[in-house]
Amino acid sequence: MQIKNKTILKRCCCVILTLGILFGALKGLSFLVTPRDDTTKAGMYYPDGRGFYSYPQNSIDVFVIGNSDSYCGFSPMELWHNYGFTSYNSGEPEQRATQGLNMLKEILTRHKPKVVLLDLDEIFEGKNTIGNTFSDIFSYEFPIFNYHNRWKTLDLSSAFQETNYTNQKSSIKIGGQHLNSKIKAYTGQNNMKKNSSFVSIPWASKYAMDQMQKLCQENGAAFVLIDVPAAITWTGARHDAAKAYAESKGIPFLDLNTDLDSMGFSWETDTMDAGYHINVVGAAKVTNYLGEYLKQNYSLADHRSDSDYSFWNDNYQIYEQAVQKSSS
Amino acid sequence: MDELLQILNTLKPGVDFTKETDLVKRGILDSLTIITLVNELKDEFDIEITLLDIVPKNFFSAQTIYDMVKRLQDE
Amino acid sequence: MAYNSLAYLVVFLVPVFFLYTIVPKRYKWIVLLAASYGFYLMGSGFLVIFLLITTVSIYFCALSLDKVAKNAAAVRKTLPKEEKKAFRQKIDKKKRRIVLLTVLVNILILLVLKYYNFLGGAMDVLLASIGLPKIFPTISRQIQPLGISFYTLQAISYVLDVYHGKYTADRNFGKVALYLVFFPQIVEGPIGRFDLLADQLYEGHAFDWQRTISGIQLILWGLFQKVVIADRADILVGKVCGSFANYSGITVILTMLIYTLQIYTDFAGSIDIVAGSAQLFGVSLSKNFDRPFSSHTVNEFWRRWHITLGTWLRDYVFYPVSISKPIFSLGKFARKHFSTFLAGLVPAFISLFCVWFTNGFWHGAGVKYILYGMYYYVITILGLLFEPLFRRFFEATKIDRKGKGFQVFQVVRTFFLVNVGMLLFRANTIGSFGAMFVSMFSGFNPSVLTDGSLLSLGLDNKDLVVLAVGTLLLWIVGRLHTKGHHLRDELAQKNSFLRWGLSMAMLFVIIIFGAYGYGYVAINPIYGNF
Repeated sequence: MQIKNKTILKRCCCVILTLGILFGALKGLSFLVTPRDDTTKAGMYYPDGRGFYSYPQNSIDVFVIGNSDSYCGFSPMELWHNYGFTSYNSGEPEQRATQGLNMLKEILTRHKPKVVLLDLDEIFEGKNTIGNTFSDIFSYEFPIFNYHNRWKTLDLSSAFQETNYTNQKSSIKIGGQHLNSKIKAYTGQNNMKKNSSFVSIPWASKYAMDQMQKLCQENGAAFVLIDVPAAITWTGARHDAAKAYAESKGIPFLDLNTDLDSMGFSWETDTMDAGYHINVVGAAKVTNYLGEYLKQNYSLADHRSDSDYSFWNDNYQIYEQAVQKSSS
Repeated sequence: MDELLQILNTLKPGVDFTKETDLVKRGILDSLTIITLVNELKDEFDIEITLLDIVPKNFFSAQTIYDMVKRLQDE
Repeated sequence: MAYNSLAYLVVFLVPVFFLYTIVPKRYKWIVLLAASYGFYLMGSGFLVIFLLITTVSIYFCALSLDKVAKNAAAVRKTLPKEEKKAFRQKIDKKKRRIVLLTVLVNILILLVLKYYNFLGGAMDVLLASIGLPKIFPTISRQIQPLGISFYTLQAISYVLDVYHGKYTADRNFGKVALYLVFFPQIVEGPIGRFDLLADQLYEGHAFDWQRTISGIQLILWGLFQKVVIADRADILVGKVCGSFANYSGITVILTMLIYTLQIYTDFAGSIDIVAGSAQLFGVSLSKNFDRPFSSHTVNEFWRRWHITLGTWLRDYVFYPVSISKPIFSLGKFARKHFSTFLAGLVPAFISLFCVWFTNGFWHGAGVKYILYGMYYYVITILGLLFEPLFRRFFEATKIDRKGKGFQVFQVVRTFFLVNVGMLLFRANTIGSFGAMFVSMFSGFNPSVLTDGSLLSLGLDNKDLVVLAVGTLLLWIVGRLHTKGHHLRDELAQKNSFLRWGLSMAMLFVIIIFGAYGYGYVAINPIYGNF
């Protein structure tokens, strides 16, 4: 009996020690691989969506989170030019809702947003699964799971440096917007009117949105659900499901697909790829509409006369030049 | 027994079925050979062989096959 | 929940294991049953209804077969000898009706849910060819319950075994239900047999330290194969197969080889994760892979690859068809009119056709998959037909078929044939398979091996190194298995630090070198859509 107890004790210690070492090793490796700079070279994933690291802390008031729909359809430069609000497109290609949640957590380490807008195109995608939710929760706590591929390029000397965000690429200066002037019209039916079957929001997406709402509340930010015009992926059924969720949670829901006329938006001229993504012309219209909405509903500061924000005017020049160049 | 050995030798020439055992495991009788053998046995000895009988145990050696045939003849 | 996900391993398996460990022995099976249904609900939601229908159908079918047999035995005792045979035939007919109904209903469910679009399309083509209008609209997204291809086979094997009298029906509904739904094997097998599996699941096993460690190690080995090798290989294979027209010669040959590596490590790796999971609960699942690439013939390959499918087809298609009355009569007829050699082959040809057709069709709803089965069928019957010729050839040339040289030739030949089969399996369409196959020979371009073009197939040189090292490790482990080593048991005898160190090292190899996260895309297991 004595021997048995000793073995049990030894094994319990082994298990506890193993878990401890595992935890420590994961944290340690995570420390090594976490990018120290918001550039591709430093290993950061999709720097365009994370360019807010390069901006002065707590200087950005509005964030738009979503997938490629959002960073094609929203223009921080237009918002700045017409309203003086500071904003950023912190979207990722094919982002999952729980990845959007992680993005918000990243944002909150650097800025104190007043308004957070989530584009809902991503919440209905099949990849919003329970399995991926846990992956994303683990990945945020232990970045080693996301960034382990840096084993290929990791320079150990840089691994111990302080973070220093230096990315000054024009794509970041113009707020993470993906510029494209191409026009490829969408001439199909209006999906909002189509009789499509009932859809439901996956549990994972609901979880992500609940958490985002909570985080916003804790950090004094307003949480708003939007959907930028999307001819093919957005339907009346999705609108209904989203509206029901938003109402049940008391979250404002702005479906821009229902207001194309007042935006002056047209699927003939404002899309670059026949209805999937919006081009620069369309983005300007969407942004101005959103800007008006933000002005009416939230007390956001107009920083156009603030000398600390004068570099935003320089950034706007870059944007204007880029737009002119691509449309010529 | 002689008829059985004759069948076995036609099916798989070159094998001494009076001596060899563990026929299935050693691959001497594979599933194709077994079903041909089974159909021949059914024809030759006028017996009913069912799926339950097609187990490696019964086809271990020529002797066990013969025992199975005798048992089925009695039924 | 994919078996290689953090969700399954950490959030699902660990709590279930703890619960199983602390619950008293009598109730342990209930933990497995509840966890399995929970797993199923998370994966398929309300589609569990189909699993339940199958479960209920086989439970009652088996019970009624037993009841008929029992009543019949009682009655038969009272009958005079002349009437016994007729009575037995009547009872057999009744039993046959019961089991046939159950089996057909379950196959029908499978056909409708998984094969509707394919079969409906085929029917419409048939109708169109005789001038009739189409009547089968295509469903854009077929509803497919998790693991239906696997659990249906298990269900059929249970009722057929009871029908043939292999064992009696089980009165415990929970036991029958658990046999079908057990979460480690529901998604992609192995395809279990009731007499080998049901008791193990039901009897409950006390905690065993060594067994638990062994199970964890097997899971780690499976994860290594799937996450480090298979998912990495998929990137290259996906790129080349996606735009196959751009590639030829050695590039395509290499891609074909790497795909075979991928499907093996993906499937065998997943099976190892699954077997390791089952081992945690003291359940030993049937082996599904046994060093398949050491096979000398294509038939041997299918006895070493997806073993439980092969044995299922052998026991429930091949044998029954081969010894059935029609085939038996056909064999007799053939013996009268053809040479003994050919006559012996006729039944085999038909039953083999049934086996390979079923094999191919089971793998997917498409002509490509049927062709996949037929490919192996043709190889098999050609082998049988030419056997006398081969024998004469070897006698004449004095080549020793049992000699080392010939054995090596056989292994290489089988490897090549299997690879071509895999290429067909992977190609997006039959046309692209044809194009890729031809392109292997059209442009012999050894320069790609040195000019760096192999680095533009989606994997950089570091990735290729990982792939190569992983494959080497795989090969070494395979060799050790051939020599009879049982690695985990042998490891258990060694110093515990060494054991612990190796396991931890493997865990971190998976975490660091796995093909997931930023820079890679998550991949579903290849056999997981069944």
